[in-house]
Amino acid sequence: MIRNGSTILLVEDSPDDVLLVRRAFQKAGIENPIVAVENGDEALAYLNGTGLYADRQKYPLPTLTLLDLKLPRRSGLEVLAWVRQHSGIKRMPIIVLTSSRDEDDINRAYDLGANSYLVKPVAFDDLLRLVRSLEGYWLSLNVRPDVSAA
Amino acid sequence: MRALWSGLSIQRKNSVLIGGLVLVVAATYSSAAYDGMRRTMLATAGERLRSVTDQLAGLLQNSSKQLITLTRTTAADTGVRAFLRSPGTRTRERATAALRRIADQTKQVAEVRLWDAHRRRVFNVVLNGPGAGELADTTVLLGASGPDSGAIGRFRAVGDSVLFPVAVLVVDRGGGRLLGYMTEWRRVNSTPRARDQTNRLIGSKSTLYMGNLAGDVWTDLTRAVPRPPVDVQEAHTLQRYERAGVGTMLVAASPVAGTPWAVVVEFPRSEVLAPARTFLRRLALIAPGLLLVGLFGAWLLSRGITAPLSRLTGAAEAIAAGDYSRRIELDRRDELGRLEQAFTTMAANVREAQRKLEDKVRERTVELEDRNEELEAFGYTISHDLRAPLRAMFGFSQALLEDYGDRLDDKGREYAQRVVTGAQSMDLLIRDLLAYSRVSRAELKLGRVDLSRVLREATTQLQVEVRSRGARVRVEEPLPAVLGHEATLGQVVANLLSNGIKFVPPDRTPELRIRAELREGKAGGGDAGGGTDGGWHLRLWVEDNGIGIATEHHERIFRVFERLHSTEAYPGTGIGLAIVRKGMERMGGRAGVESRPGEGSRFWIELPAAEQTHDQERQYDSAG
Repeated sequence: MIRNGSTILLVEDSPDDVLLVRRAFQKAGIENPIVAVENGDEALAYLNGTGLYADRQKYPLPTLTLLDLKLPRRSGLEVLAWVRQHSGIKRMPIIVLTSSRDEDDINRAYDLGANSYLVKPVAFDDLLRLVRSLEGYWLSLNVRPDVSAA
Repeated sequence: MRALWSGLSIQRKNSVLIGGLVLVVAATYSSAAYDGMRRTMLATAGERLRSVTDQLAGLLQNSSKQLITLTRTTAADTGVRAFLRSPGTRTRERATAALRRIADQTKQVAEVRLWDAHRRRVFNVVLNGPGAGELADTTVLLGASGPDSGAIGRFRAVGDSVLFPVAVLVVDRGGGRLLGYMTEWRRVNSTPRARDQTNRLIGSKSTLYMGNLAGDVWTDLTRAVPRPPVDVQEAHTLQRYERAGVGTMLVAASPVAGTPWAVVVEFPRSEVLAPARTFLRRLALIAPGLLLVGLFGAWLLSRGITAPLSRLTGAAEAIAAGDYSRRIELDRRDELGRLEQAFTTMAANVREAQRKLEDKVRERTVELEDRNEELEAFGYTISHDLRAPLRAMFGFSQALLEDYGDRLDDKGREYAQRVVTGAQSMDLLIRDLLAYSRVSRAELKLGRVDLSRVLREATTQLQVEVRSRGARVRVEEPLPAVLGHEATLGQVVANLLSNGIKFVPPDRTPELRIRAELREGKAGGGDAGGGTDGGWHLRLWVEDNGIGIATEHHERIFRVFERLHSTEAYPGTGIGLAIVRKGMERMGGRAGVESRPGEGSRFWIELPAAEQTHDQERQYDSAG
């Protein structure tokens, strides 16, 4: 049984990174379920509750989305733009987690309404620190807005 | 002189040349004309003088013959004959009466003398004015030896008057018997008015003289005068002499045939040349007029040439200054017109070439920008794509160590550890390379940068390293503001501080001293806009107590990937100081080092000191 309202959606095309993030969450002792999708289309399908992800019981709206920018098919920025235009889910907290430090990417992500922009650290210890900060701030302190399915 | 000439404008030169030419031509023509005219006039005058003199001589010859005839008529008077035939008181009275009659007719006869056949004087009567007095007649009596002939004697001076004798024979009527001789002494006594009229007839202010060929007595027809100082026997030759108060006189003499006389006509040379002089004066008056006309012509001509030339020059200067829009319309078909056409064509060609060049430059710039973008995209890809596998290597080898370390032996753990270390240094390398390429390429807008703040931020950034080595960083405040790019300067300073802490022997506590020094002079030539000459520059010193650097390496260490030590001893990518040098150059500054092995190093960077006015320009580029 997956707890409604505590799912974390990880949009990440690299299986290595998915594995490392999962391990970091696990090391940090965070129990929120993580659903990983590997491209933008899938992310949209999940958030829209269509296709494979039609079952909201099984695939509830995430409490937090970690979004990579460089994705196959539909980029992270497109996903972000799409979400911010859909009334039901537009307030959903989305944190960009990418390896790009490109200024354009950073500015456009904030322009499109990213709640935070984080760069994937190379060292695992740093990643662990990042995940702990995420949990401490976004999963604990942060007051969540009302998000309903479209 | 030459410099003066070449400095003159063409217009002036033309005027001077043409004016000079006009003057030379006028002077040459005037002098030639005057000279020719003078010669002609002198020749004509000479000719006229000679012919006048000859004519006068002829006239005098005729009148002397007439005089003889006249005297012979008198001698034929019955009273005179009677007296000579039988001299007596009665006949004397008759003869005297007859002679007085003649004297009444001719006032010129001063005295008449009668001689017997043996040339003894038997009678004389003074008729008009003073007579000949004691003057002798003998010579002239000998001359009058034929029955039809008479003789004219030489002039004689009596007081102011000049007399001459006319001698004839007195013969019996019908027969040829010589009764005696008669001499008439005639006076040369024209009135001054008559003399002047004669002179005027000859013209040219001439003066007529008559006198004896022998030269003793001369008259100007009114009275005795000194002989003209010329050779009166030299007929038909133009002679000249200087007359006091008048100047050069032209003289011609001619003997009077049948008499012992000569006639002389003279006139002043100046009088002859007067028309030539007038002509010359007129020419001299005309010359300035000609000069003025010439100068005006020269001015017009020069203006016709130089005005279009100066317009061409103006257009050429405009083109030289980059203004291709200047057009010249001369509307001429001469050489200047062709020059204008050639110029217009050239300007069009230059403009076309310039336009092509600009197009090419623009094209190239676009190309370069494309390349640059590609390069940046490449850098971005490197940072992104290389880091992903790096994260995997790093993450999973660390996971291996953490999760399965207890199942590996020492060697296995060491290998895994080496994978971690390798990934770490590769991460560092990528980071530094990206930083270096960003510093090299990013557009830097310079502004006022507060060095204290830069130092504070750099120290904060390095706090892990500072803490791990227990380093002491002493900043000697206050640090003034400089003209630079804050982010780049922060990167530069951070690299210098990091080096200062890093290159210290492990057993020594790193001590860094940072101080500023204001210097006057050149800050160096970077390729960014800030390379200013002169003025004040700020040198920031970063002094450490590290291992030091040998002099021969002082330049090498600022190049990319240059390392003096193994990564084992002093880890690093060999890019840090290259970033320092490149960053300073991009900001128009310099970087250098003073160091000797074992004595620590004193790195310095130099930038123009900021003035207060730069406050407003403070703009920061977002890069970095």
